[in-house]
Amino acid sequence: MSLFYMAAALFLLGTILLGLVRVLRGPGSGDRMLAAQLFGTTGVTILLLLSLALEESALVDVALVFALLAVVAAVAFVRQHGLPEPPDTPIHRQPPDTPGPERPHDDR
Amino acid sequence: MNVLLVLFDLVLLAGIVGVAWRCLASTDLFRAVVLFITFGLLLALAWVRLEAPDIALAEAAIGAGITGALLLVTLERLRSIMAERRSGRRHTPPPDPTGPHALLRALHDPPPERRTFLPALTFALVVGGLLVTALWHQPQSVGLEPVVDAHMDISGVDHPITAVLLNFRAYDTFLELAIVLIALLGAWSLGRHDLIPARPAPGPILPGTLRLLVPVAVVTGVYVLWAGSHAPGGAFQAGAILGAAGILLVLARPRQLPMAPGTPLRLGITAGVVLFLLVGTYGLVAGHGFLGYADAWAYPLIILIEVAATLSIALTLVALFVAGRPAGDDT
Repeated sequence: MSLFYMAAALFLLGTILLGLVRVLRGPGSGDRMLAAQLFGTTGVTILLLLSLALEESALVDVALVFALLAVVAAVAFVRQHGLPEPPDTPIHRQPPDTPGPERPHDDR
Repeated sequence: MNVLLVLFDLVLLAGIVGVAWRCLASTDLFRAVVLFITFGLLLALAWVRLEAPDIALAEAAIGAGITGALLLVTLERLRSIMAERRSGRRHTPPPDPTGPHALLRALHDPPPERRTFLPALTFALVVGGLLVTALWHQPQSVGLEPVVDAHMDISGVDHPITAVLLNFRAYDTFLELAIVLIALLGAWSLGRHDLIPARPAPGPILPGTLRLLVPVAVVTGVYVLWAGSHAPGGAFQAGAILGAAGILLVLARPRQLPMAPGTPLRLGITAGVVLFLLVGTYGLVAGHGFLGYADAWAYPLIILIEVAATLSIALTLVALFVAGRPAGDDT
């Protein structure tokens, strides 16, 4: 049975890596954040499966903490993106014609 | 089973390295933040596979709960600073002249150097080479596990990690608590509390979720603290969970933060370090050495220190999230 649990955990880990496409591609902030939230849910399942497969009951606590606190990032996100902003506000993406010093992470 | 475990580890490793690389290389800061949250999740799984559930618990609380929210709010603050610079108008309340904004401007004003590539590459190669050399010549040793196991009966607790952290190597834990305190003092010295950027979130979902989650988080925090004496858990993990609960409360009403009472807040924040220091000094006077306990008193003293440390860590994390000295508190 632990073979099955381990195979399921491996499969779920694969789905996380697949879901990274949505984080990398976007296009919206909501898509990225939702993907990360679903990773949290998948992570809880992986932890529970690992705790069964490796017979380590402490991992249930880790899963509990994950399930409980993954929402903090979501609440912070909702607070930053609560009401839909007017369509012309460039809040998610900085305009491409901004001069260099104002975009310090884009110097290459 | 073993093949599956190795495969799981390899996939996990590839995921961690890939996510870390994309996170560092990302020019879109929001994407980098989301990738960092994912990185924390994968890292917690890696700690589980390294058979360190204590660290996995801490990583789950800090990585999933606190850093994500902290980075998202910081990103929003950064955006408002940038927008203010671009338009020449002020979108935010005027900042403290010595505040975090001034520091950010100082960081951004010199244009990024392009000539740093070669030194950076050399530095990375040297450090990488040193790391590989150090790992190559790892001495064969059984580690400290037998020593710890042999002395578990005098440690006062049943969980070896807690025994090491709070008894055998209490000095390290004491200094870690001091570092957390110094980090907060550093943040406070940068300026007063500035409003947390937050938009209205209408509807019953957000308040309803918080009303359900915060009590559960508090209970879980106390449970993890209590579990620390016999299972993975302890002050740092419990403090991080309670801190995350506090951050949820802050996010619930960012415009109506209660005025923090100066003296009780400071007492709570320093409680862990002060109590640890008092117990340690008493040990010195009583002849057990600095931070040593009498065997019979080890358990109650460890619990006492852990409770105080949990309180301090939770308060410090919330204070770091709010950032800056409490308003109206300039003494």
